[in-house]
Amino acid sequence: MNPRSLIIAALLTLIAAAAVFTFKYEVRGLEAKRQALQNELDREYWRLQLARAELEYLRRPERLAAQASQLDMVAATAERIIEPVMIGRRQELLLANNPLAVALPSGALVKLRARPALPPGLDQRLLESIAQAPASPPPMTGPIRVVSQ
Amino acid sequence: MNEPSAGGSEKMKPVVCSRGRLRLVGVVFAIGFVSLGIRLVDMVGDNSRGAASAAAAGLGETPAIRAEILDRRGNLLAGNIEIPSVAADPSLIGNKELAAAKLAAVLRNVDAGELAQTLARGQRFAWVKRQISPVEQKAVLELGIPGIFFVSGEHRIYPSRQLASHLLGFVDLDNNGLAGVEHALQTRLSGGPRGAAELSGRPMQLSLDSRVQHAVRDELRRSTSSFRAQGGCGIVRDIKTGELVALVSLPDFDPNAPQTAAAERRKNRCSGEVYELGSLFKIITAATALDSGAVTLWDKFDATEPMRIGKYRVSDYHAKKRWLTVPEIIAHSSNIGAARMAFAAGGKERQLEMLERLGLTVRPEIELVERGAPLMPERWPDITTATISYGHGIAVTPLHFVEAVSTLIGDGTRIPTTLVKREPDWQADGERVVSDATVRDMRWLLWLTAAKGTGENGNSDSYLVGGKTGTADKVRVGRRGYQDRAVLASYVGVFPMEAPRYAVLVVLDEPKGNEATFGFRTGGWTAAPTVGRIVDRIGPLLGLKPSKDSAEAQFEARLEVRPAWDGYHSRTEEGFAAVRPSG
Repeated sequence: MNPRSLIIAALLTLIAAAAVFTFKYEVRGLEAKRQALQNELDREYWRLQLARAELEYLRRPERLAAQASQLDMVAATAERIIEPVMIGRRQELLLANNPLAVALPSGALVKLRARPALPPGLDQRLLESIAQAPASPPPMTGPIRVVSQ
Repeated sequence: MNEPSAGGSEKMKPVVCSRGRLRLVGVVFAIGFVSLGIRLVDMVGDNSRGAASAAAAGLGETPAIRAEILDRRGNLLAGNIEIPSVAADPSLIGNKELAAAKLAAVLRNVDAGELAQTLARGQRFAWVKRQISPVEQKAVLELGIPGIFFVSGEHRIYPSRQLASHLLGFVDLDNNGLAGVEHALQTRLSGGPRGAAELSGRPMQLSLDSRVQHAVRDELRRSTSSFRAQGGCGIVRDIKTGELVALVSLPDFDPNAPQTAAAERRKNRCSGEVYELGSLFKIITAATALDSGAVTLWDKFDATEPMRIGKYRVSDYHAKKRWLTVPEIIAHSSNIGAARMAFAAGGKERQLEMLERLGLTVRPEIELVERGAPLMPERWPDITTATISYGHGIAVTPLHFVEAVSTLIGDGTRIPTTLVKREPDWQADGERVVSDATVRDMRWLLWLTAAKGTGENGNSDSYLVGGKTGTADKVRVGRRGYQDRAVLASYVGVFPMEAPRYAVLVVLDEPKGNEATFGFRTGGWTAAPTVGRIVDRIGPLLGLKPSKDSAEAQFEARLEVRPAWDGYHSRTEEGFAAVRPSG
């Protein structure tokens, strides 16, 4: 190894040593920062856990049921579940169950009932059960046929 | 020739010497570079030392946390919060007695004398009190005693309180499960000792539905209160998947403070206690008989007189005193008919084989530590075959029975019961127990009993329910025989009957009749209406479409095959007369 190589090697060593020291302090700083963030994360984690527990406590079914009853809310019962196809038919069915008194030109009074046009495949008893729900008779509209009773 | 070489050798000496020095310097440099390289890698690549030191200081990485328990819809059933505990380094405390007295004054349930003794032991660490409240923490801070410090720790909480107490169980101060799922799945919940690191901290999702659980608990509480029962059990099981959707045992307790509950309250009546379930077992007897091929649905059995077996007599509570078909035996709950059916099917061998195939002879398989062992007869003479046919002489847990019924009414295969939510791609791989034909007959028999028999009070307004009532005399504790005035009333219901999906079992321990039941305390009057109300409430929650009107016709049609049907007497006490010595 000639003197020039020796000098280069010495310089490289010095540079490497300086880099290590710089790096060392940078790493230490980053480590401290990471630790602070980790602590913050932990604190937030436990805050979140507490918030979740509180939320779950507040929305436990027992409490919700008690509050719902105070607001006159009722649970969804099976009677309130209908086929989507039946939405819109309800008024026809109600009309069918509430005869209309009509005066004929002759002066006679007759009661008219509207017979709903059943879509194919619908069960007659299902229609009747839905029609039994109490509600005020709606105005006579929609695709219905009026027949004399 | 030698001189020049000798002179040359003298000249070469400094060169050799300088080469040696250079090598030495080179080696030093090489060592230096290698050391620096190692140090660089050490500093940049390895962060674990920092983490380790932080962990040693009680900070740093998120601690290993016990997995949360969720219901099937993701609602939190058991979680964790951070709670401080008070600890001391006694070597730093001057007047230990004074410090103990001051601490005991602000910390609840801490005895000054005991604490002073603990501090006087000369250790470097001692617990003062585990898991303190924020108010207590503030008070301790204000005392400002040197050597007293706080250690933060994880604390298990159950936000839904009593909702699923028996099912969830509870943990000790060190978060070790002591009961229920917490104990049975301790390894999974704590992350596991080895090989389960990937599970650590991952929530555990149960098959339980909090809404259904609440509805069942609500109705069961109403019934136990109304009939002044000692306790009760309510189970809802998914027939197709084997998942338990609800499991309620009353009386219950708050798992946040289990130490305040009496042992009786902590008793899991659904899976940990065994009972003689009485007439419910006639379902198994009928299935055994029909599946054996030796008995058909319309075979008749003589129930005109009580049946004598040795010195014993088997009788019906309300005897029909005539020959009965299989549907009549089930619907009238005839003990004599059930016993004769059991013998016709093959007696003890066939009966025991069916009980084994239904899993009624071993502890139930479920993720709970409370699993009652069935009480089987030591000897199995004919009288035992007879009594077991109507549910006496064998004691099983309600959980056992609901699984057995699910097997017989489902698709005839036995699917293990579980409390853990099944994966969406889960495929049933059950063992076949009875044939499809037997399943069809059993469904019809249960519908018949609910529609026109003793289970009439267990019907739903919206869903087609099938079921069977049971009323069993309670066994005397510590003595032979049965109690005179204490019964176990039960009803198992299955719905929707046209495509059975859920089995609901309600058991009431020692119900008393009231005005509404005309004094009757039988399963048909007490447990059956409870099941009916539960079905009405949970059906919409479980996404089931009301189908009673459209589905009933197919069951009615089968009844019309036998026009000679004589009707039923559903308003009577069903037969549950225990076998007593005729003498």
